[in-house]
Amino acid sequence: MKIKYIKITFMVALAASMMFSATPVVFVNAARTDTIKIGALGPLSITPGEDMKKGAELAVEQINAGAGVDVDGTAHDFVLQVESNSGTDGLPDITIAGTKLEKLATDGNIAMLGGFRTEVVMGGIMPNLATYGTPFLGVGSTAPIFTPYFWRVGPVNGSRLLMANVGLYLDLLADHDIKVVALAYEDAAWTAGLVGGYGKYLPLLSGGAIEVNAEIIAPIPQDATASSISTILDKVDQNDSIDAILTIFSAPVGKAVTEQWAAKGLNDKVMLAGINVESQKSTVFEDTDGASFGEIGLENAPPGVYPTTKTKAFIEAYELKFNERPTYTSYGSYDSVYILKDAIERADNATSAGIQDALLTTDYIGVSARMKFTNEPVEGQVKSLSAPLNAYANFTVHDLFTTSSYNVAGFPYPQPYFAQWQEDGTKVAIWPSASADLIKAPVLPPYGEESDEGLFPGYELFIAIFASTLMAIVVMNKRRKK
Amino acid sequence: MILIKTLNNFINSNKYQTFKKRFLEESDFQSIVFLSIAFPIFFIYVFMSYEVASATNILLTGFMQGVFYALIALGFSIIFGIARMFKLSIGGYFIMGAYTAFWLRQMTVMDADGILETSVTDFNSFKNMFLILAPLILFIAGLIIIFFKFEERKYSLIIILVNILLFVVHRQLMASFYDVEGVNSTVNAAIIQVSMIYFTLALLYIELSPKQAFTAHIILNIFVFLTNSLSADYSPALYFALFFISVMFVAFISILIDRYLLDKIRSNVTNVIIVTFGIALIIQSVIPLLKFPDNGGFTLFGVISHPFKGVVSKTDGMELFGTTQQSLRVIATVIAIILIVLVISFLKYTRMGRAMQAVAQDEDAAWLVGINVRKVYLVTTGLGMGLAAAAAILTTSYENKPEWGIHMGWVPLVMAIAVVTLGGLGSIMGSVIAGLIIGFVEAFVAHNDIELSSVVPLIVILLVMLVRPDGLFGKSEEGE
Repeated sequence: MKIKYIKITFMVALAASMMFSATPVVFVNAARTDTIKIGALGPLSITPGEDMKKGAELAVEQINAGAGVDVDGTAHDFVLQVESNSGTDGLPDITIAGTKLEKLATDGNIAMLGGFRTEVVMGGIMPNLATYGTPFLGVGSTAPIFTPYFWRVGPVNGSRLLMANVGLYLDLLADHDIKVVALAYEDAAWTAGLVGGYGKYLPLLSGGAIEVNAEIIAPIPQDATASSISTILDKVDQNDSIDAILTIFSAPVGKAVTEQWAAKGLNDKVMLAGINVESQKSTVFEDTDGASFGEIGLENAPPGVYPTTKTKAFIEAYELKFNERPTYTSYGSYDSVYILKDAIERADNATSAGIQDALLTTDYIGVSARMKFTNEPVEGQVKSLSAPLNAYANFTVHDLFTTSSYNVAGFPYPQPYFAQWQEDGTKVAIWPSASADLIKAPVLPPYGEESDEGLFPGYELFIAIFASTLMAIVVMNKRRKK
Repeated sequence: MILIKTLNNFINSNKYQTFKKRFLEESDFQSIVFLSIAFPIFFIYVFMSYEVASATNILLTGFMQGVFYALIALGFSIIFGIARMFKLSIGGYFIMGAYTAFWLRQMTVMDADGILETSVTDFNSFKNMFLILAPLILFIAGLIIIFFKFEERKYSLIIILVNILLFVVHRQLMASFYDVEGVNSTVNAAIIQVSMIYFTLALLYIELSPKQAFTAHIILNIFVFLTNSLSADYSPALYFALFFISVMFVAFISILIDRYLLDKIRSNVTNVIIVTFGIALIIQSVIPLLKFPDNGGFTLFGVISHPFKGVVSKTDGMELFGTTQQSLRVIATVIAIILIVLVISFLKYTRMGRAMQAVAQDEDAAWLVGINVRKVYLVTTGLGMGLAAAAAILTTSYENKPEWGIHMGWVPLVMAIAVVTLGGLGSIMGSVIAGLIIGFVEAFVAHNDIELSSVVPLIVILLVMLVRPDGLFGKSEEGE
C-alpha cells in the first residue's frame, strides 16, 4: 500500500517536473485593452536565444510605453510570447521548434520573430508557417532559407559574412605578416559554405599570400570537451607556420576555444580572428578571466561606432535594463519588433496576411542598419560587384538588401564590423578600416602573460617516478604486514 | 636441444602452471595481463607516431580527463557495487553540486557589507539577516555539537580551541590580506571554520575513530590555513571551504532522499531506476525556480550559462613535461587523485568501509553479524553523490562540457554508466582503470579527429563488451 502511495506521488511529481523543466514561457503584458500578439522563438538556454528575447522585450516595452501600434486610428499594445526551442544541449531542436511554433500559432500570434540556426529547425517550423500564413522575421541565421514567410532581419547572409571576413584578413595581412590561416569551426550546417569559401577566396584575393589550412583543426563538435579542444589546439602549437586561427562559432563551444587558446599559450604567437558569438558578449572577458584579450570578432556595432542614428539610444537603454551590451540577436529582434510595428501600421490591419504583404515594401532605419528586403539576389547583393564571392547559391526569398563591396563604412545597409578585445577588458573597433577616425589598428600577439614554469621545471619526470615508487613501496609493505 | 629442454622445464614449472591456471580460470587475471600488455603498447605507439611534445600532451590530457571520468564513475560504482542500486540520479546531484557551490560563491562575493550598504531595508528582512548570521550560528552550533560528539573530552576541547583561534586568524587574514572588510570578513572566516567542523562531524558519522577524525581535522585545518596565506584575489581557503560545504550538502540531501523516498522500493530494480531518473529531472527543474544572488540582490535563475571562477585564472598555463597545460586543470586533477585515493583507502582500511564490503557480499549475513545495513546504504549514497558533486565543482571551473545549464548532468551520467560498464559493474578499481582507458582513448582520438572523440571511446567499450560481457573486472552474475 505504502509503496503504491509513494509511486503515485512520485509519478505526479515526475510529470510536474517534466513540465517545469521546459523553459518557462515569457509573456510581456500590455496595459492597453487592444492588443496584438506576437511570438518569439529561439534557444533560450544559450546566448543567441537569450539575447534575442532581451532585444524583443525591450522593443515591446518601449512601444507599449509610447504611442503603441496604431491600427485604424486605435492604439494597440504588443503582447510578446517567448518560447524556447532549446534541446538538452541548449542548441535548437527541430522537434521542439515545431511543437513550440504550433503553440505560438494556435495561441493567436499573428507574426513571429526569432531564430538562430533557423535552417536547422526550418523543417520543423516551415509547415506551420505555411499553414497559418505567419510571417517569421529571422534573427540569427545566415544560411539560405527558401520559404516566402521567412524574412531575414539579421545577421547578413553567409556570402556577405564571408566577404567581410576575407576583407578583415586581407587588411590584417598588411599589418601582420599572415601566411597560413588555420580554420577552427563548429560542426554545424551553416559553417560548411563558409569553410569552402575561405579556402577558395582567401588565397585567391590575397594573390596567393594567404594559405588556408582547413585540415589541421577538424570541425569541432558543439559538445566537445575542453580536453579535446586542448588536444586539437596542441597541433597548432606544434606547427610553427600557423599565424592565425579563423574562427566560425555560434555555439557555446566557441568560449572554450578562446579559453584553451589562451591557456595553451597559443595567444603568444597566433591570432584568433573571425566569428565567435560568445566573444560578442560584453561579459565574456570577465567570464574567461581575460582569455579573450586579443580575440577579434564580428560585431553589429562595436563600442563607439553607431551605424544609424537610433543605435546609441538603443545600446544605452539595453545596457540600463540588462547591464550588458547587446549582441547580434538583440539588434535583430529589437529591429524585428519595430519592423512589425511599421508593417502593421502601413497595412493598417493586424493580420498575418496584411503584415506579409506590407513587409515587402519595408524601408526602415533600424538600430543596426537601414532594412530593405529583396527577393532578387542580384540587386544590392553580393553578386553585383564581388561576383566570385557568392559562395552560396542564394535563394532566400526575402533576404536583406546589403552592400556589395567589402570595405565600406557608412553605407546605410547592413555592414558587419570587427572588434578586438583589449588588455583592459574593453573592445575596440578595428574593421572596416574605411571609417578611419574610429577604427584602431589591431593589437598583435603576444597577448597575455607567459605561462608559469610549473612547480619543478625539468624535474617532473623524476618526481613522478619517485612518487610512484614510494607508493609502490608503501603498498607492498602493507601487503607484507598482512 | 637445450632450448627445447629449457622450454619443457618452463612449461612444467610450477610458476607457469599456476599462471596458466589463473589465466584460464580467473577473469580478473586475464584483464590484468591484457592491460599490462595493452598500456605499454599504447604508450610506445603514441611516442613512435608523434613528436615527443605531442605524444606527452596526448598522454597528459588523456590522463587528466581519465581521472575525472574515474571520479564520476567511482561514485556510481560504489553505489551499484554496495547498495545494488542503479541510481540514475547521479546526474541530478552533479548539477546540484555545481549550483550549490556557485550559489555559495556568489553569496560570499556579494558580501554582507554589500547587503548592509545597498539595501538597509533588505537587511531588516529575515532572509538577509539569516544569510549573514547563518554561518556564525552554524559555527557556534558546530562547536557545541563537537563538544558532545567526541567521547574523549581532550579531542573536543582541542578542536574547539583550535577552531576559535583559527576563526580569529582567518578573520584578520581576510581583513588585511584580501581587503575583505567589516562584517564580511567575520562571515567568511566563520564559513571556513564551519566547513572544517561539519566535515569532522561527517567523518564521525561515517564511523571513523575519534582519533582519526581528530587527526583529519587538524591536518585539514593546517592545510587550509596555509592556502589562505597564498597570494590571490580570492581566498583559496574560502574556496576549499565552499567546496567541502557543497559536497556535504549534496551528500546530505542524497541521504535524506535515499532514506525517505528510496528505502521502501530498494528491492525493486525497475522502481529504483524510474524513481532516480525522476529525481534527476526534479532537481533539474527545481534549480531554475531558485533565486540566485546577483549584484547584491536576488534574481530568479534564468537559463543562463554561469561562469564559476576559482582562485586560479582560467588563462594560466603551466609547463609540464615540456608541454603547456591549463593550471586549473592540473590542480583539479591533483585534487581528484587525492579524493580517489582517500575513498579507496576508506573502503579498504576503515571499519565502515569493511562493513560496506560485507554488505556488498551478503546483506543478510552482514545484518546478522550486527552491521547497521540501513546506515551502510545511507553512507554509500552520500559518498557516491558527494563524489559526483566534487567532480562537478572541479570540472565546471574550466570545462566546456558540462556547459553551465540545467541539462549538464546528463553527459556525466552517460560517461559514468559507460565507464562502470567497461570496468565491470561493482568493481571499484575497475572503474578507475576504465576511466583512465576512456580518457586516453578520447585524447588520442581527439588529436587525430576531434569529431570522433566522443564516439570512439564508446565503440571501444562495445568491442570490449563483445569479448568480456561483464566488463574488464566484472563478476558474472550467473557464476555466483
